[in-house]
Amino acid sequence: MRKASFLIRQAVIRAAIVAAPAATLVACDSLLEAKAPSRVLADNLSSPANAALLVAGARAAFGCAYQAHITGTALLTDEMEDTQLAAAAWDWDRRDWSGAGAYATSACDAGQIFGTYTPLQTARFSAEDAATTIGGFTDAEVTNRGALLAEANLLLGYSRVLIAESYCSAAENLGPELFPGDFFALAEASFGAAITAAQGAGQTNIANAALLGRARARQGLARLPGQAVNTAKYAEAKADAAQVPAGFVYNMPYSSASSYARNNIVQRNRLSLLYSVAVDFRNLNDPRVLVTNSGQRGADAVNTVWLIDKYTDLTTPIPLARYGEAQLIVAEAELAAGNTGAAVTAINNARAAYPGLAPYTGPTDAATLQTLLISERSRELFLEGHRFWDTNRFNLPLNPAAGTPYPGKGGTYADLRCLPLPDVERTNNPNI
Amino acid sequence: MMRAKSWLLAAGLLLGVASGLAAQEVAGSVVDSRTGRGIEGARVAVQGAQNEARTDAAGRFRLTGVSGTSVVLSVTMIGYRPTTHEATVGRTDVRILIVEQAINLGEIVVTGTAGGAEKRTLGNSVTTVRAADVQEIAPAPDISNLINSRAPGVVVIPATGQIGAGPRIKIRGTNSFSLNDQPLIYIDGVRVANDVATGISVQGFGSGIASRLNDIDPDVIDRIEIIKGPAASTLYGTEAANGVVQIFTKRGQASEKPKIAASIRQGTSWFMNPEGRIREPVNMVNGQLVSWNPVKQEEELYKQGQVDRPLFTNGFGMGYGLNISGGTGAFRYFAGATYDDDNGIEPSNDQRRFTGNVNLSITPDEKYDIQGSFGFVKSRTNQAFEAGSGGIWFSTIFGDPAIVNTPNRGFLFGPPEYQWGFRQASQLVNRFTASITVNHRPTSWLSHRLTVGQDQTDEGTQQLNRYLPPEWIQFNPGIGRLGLKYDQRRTLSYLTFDYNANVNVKLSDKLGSTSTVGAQYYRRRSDLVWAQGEQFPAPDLETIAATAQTFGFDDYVENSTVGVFAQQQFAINDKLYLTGAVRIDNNSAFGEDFDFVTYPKVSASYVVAEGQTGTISALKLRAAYGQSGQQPESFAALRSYQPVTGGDGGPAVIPQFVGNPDLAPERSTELEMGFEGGLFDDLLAVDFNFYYQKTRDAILLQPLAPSTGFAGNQFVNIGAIRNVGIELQLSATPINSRNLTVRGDFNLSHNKNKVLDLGEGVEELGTFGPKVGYPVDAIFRRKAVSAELNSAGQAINVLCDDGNGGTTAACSSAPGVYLGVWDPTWEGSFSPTVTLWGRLRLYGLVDFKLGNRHFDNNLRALCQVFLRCDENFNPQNYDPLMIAELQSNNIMQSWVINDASFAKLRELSASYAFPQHIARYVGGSAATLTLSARNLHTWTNWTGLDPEAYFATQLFTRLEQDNTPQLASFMATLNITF
Repeated sequence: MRKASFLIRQAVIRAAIVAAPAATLVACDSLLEAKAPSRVLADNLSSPANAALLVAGARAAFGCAYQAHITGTALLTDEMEDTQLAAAAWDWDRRDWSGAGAYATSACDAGQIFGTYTPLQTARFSAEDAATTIGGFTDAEVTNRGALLAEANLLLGYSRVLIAESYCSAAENLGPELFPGDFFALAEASFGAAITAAQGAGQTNIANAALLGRARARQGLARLPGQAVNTAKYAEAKADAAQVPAGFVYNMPYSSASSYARNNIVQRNRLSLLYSVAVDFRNLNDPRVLVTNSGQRGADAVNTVWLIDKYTDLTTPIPLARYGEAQLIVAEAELAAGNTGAAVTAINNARAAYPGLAPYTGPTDAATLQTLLISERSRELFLEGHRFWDTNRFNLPLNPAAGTPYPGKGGTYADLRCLPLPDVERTNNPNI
Repeated sequence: MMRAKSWLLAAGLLLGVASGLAAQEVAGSVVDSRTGRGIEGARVAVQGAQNEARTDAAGRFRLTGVSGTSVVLSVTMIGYRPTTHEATVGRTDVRILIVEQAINLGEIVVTGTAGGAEKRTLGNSVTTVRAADVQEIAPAPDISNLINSRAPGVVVIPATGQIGAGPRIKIRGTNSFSLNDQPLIYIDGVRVANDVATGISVQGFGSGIASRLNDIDPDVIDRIEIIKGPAASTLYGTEAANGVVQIFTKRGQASEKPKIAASIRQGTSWFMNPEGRIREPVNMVNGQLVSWNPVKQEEELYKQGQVDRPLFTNGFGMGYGLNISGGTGAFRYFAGATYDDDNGIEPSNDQRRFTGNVNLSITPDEKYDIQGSFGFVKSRTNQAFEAGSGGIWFSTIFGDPAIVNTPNRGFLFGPPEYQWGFRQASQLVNRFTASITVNHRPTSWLSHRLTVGQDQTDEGTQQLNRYLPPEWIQFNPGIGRLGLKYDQRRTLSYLTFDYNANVNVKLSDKLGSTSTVGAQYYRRRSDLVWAQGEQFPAPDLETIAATAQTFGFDDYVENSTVGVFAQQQFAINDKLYLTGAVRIDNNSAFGEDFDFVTYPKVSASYVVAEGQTGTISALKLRAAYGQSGQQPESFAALRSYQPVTGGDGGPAVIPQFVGNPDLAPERSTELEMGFEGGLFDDLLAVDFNFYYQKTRDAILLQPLAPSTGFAGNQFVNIGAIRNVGIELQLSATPINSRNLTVRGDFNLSHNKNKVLDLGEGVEELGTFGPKVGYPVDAIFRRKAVSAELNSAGQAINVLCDDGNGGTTAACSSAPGVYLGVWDPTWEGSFSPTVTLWGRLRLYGLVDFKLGNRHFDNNLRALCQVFLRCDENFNPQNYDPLMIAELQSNNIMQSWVINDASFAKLRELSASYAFPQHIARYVGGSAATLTLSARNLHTWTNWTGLDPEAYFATQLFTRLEQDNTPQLASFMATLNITF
């Protein structure tokens, strides 16, 4: 009897002991709730109330990618040179990136070892996501829906243009490998959507920027490297560019609030002395290319840094689309069509924006004007992200030439004219 | 007052001797022959008589009513060999040395169940480091040095020799591609922070160097138990796959009167042979190739009074400890405090640390006891900049003979006084760890335990770059001349709730049963606030608010685990123990499509022999199979966006983590087999282990195609990794006499690691990434196999290994070839102890780590980036293959990935236990003086400064660049017990 009661007591206690941990599991869900106040969960974003936030995100992502694109492509060309010690970034200046390089995966706001592929893709995706999401809402659901849609498509178009102009190939959304022509065509469509939405919403500034963006995309399609000139595309580009009014400028804004928001061209050049204006642009005596010799050694303790006077502050905006560029697109199209006089007119329209810069009055033969056009573009669009694409599509000579020893830091200059499809995309994209 | 009492006591003793009363007693102490520590609870009896006594907490005994002129004392103690000792009647300072048994199967270790478990019942190995013993012989400055080389299979990998830095610890190799590789740490039953590489990035490229493990003062630790693999750590659940390090702090022992112990240490540390280890940069100066010896130069300038200090100086260190312990059977206490003040070899590196510990044990009646542990740490560590962050290391190692006669004095980015003066980094720590454990034994067959505890660390990490005075602007002309300040405040807290219950039933005379169930809840919170200010408008400003540009952000990360387990153990004849268990866990980081994880475990141990004489005096066979896991990182499963400030200054969000709703924990399975035994009448103790460990669903941080729009990587469960290894621990006491005891300890472990799977159809990840069939930490780099030099010293006709047994001229696109592994595959140590006359102990420890390679970026950067090696100027004098790689734009790197195997004379000490009458001069009952030294010599072929130096944050790569090497040190420690 005593043994039985002992066994019953033991069984009860055992059951209670087992029940306690089991109760713990039942309470599991509430115990496992983890707050994430510093993260925005994707599910919470897809509502009409967040439409403006999505576009703000696209704008922020593009702004950061844009300044990195300008710095990187400037280093790849004769616009800028390296004065810093992070060896992992020297391939910008040495024009020697392989697919595994930091250009592919590094962030746009890094000082020394920055990249452009991932930032441009983030900008493209953000803009596309915003355009798609907002496109699914109604005007009644979203205030200023037309303007938001226009800006999202504008940023999508420019993201695609920058990818086209700097990468030999790339992809979108784990899709197949796309080449510059493909991206220009996609950009053309994006700008078309932006123009329609902007005009519908009365957003003249966005509409003009989109017109110029489409002109730039069509200009790209008109002269793809290694392909015959497409005069029809030039004509379309001219038609768009000609609509851009004198004095027009569409800026990307920058703020000193964070490294992501700031104009890092200024940080890298004027403040941290990491990168300098290169030799070819130091003594042009041209109001479009204002530079100063800082007299200071750069972060590598060897090379002297020349400062960019175009961007002087972390908050200095960077032009994305300007009347001067529009006129040079018109000039290029006219030149391609054999209209040398109209080309000179357009060039001088651009030069007229600078007091003291006399109109061009030199020879007007096609060859001279072609050289002039390239020179005018390099000055007018100095450090606005055009030089690398021009070097590629016009097959300009590289300076220093490929094979020249890379001074002080080992190796030699290579002959990169477009950035290779990064390994990180090739390896992890199932459709490539 | 105490001093007066001591004199009275001494006077009383003298009077006693004079009156002849002492002729009826024998008194003294029983001490461990190896450590010299008093043994509590030993039975001391007079042979042939009834007199006997038990030693107190200090090992002291007193036998009264003894007759005759001499007696033979018999001493017995669990875990020690029985011994006899002839003593003169009347002596009160008899000192009896007893020797540990080869193995002690009755030792209680903590395994996750209530009340611990006897070692005899365990099917797996648990390594115990008796911290208090180690501190007696060779006082370790931190826990890393306490553990290092004392637990086979536990590899301690220091990163920098700076004061206040901590190592990475790897147990039984690497079983994850991407997740934290550090073991769980418990202090007195509660989980605590195990972060490494915290604080300001003084190493550059994202690395801090401060380790939370080293917050804990070794002097307050009683013992450390290390559970090494999933077979043993199943009950600890998710997160325990890397092993578990359990720290137990000192507790009070019952004694008639309070035991007071004090310790004082004074010492110095230094950079051994800097001139012989720092490669001298060379450059052409006035047409001559000249070299530069920065150490010698600064030494001479110091002697001439032109600089305030040499490049490296001896760092003075001191420490003070005081504790009181004692109590009765119902209430025992330990309260201690330590203060340490240590300086590095640079003026910018030092640490001041205060620790306080109070441990209470209350036993109201035989059914209850309550244990409380309360620990507090307050420290300030000033850290020197090194590695990618510059500091004197960067400027010295990459110095330039061409600028010796400039204000730089040859230092690349300014002279040492500038490096030390213009910026400083520090970490303030306030840490409180508390635990309360209630043990309840309501019946003879039921016991249960509840442990609740919290570990909270408040870190205040700062970097201040000062506004430069005019004379220093030349060294930093950019915006950096205006200075900056970073301030990071982080509160890191761990909450532990641990309940379990044991039911012990004797099913028959031969069969016993122990049933255990338990439930645990762990929560980790990290709450961080970062403020940053750049550009001070004027000198002497030090606040962020005073800067022109300010930034800030905060972050909050939380992770919780809930788990339950049940275990059943059968004991057959007290010889065979069979155990089965299952654990179920859920974690807040698991994906929403993944529910919970279940880990099983079975083990067996068989005591073949115990307490016997002859060849085999004791032997236990054991085997265990079990699983454990490793949770993904917090929020890794969630797709999220990051709030940012847009260029227009407004709020915005950008893609952050792509997430993975299917994310599950890694699951590690381990089979462990081994034995422990005593041989040759307990002269030799052997503990041998073999383990086979496989991790499935290994979480790989798989790079994302950027075209997804999300940057970075995605955590995915796709890989499999295997670890196979052995661990051997030998301990021999070949000589054990009254005047001479010789003991030798030898540890050896080997780990072989292999990637089994990287996902369907995937054999390798990238040119240099992991590959199926190779170790996880395999090194793949391009390698030149053929080259010639032309008359200008340029490498020509360079051919590289094509990875298929052939060669290719296309070196820039050649595959990476296998060069070895980053972490040692063999590690071990040998430590002899010689005890003379029972008082003088001579001790040494040589440890070794073999079979690994490190990346010598000092060499690469000096020769390839700065072109300041003789190889750059006289390439014809060197191996063309090496020159070809050096001249390759960093395409081939095998020339700088070099053998990092080494052996170090890690510890050397002499310790003397003063006779009692000398201890009494200072009012004590025992006193020991220990002279110890560390890192006196390294045997290695490593080309860099130190084969143990690297960037602390690196999970796999071991790259040395301008890191402070492990410092040599000398220390004198005086321990007095009152």
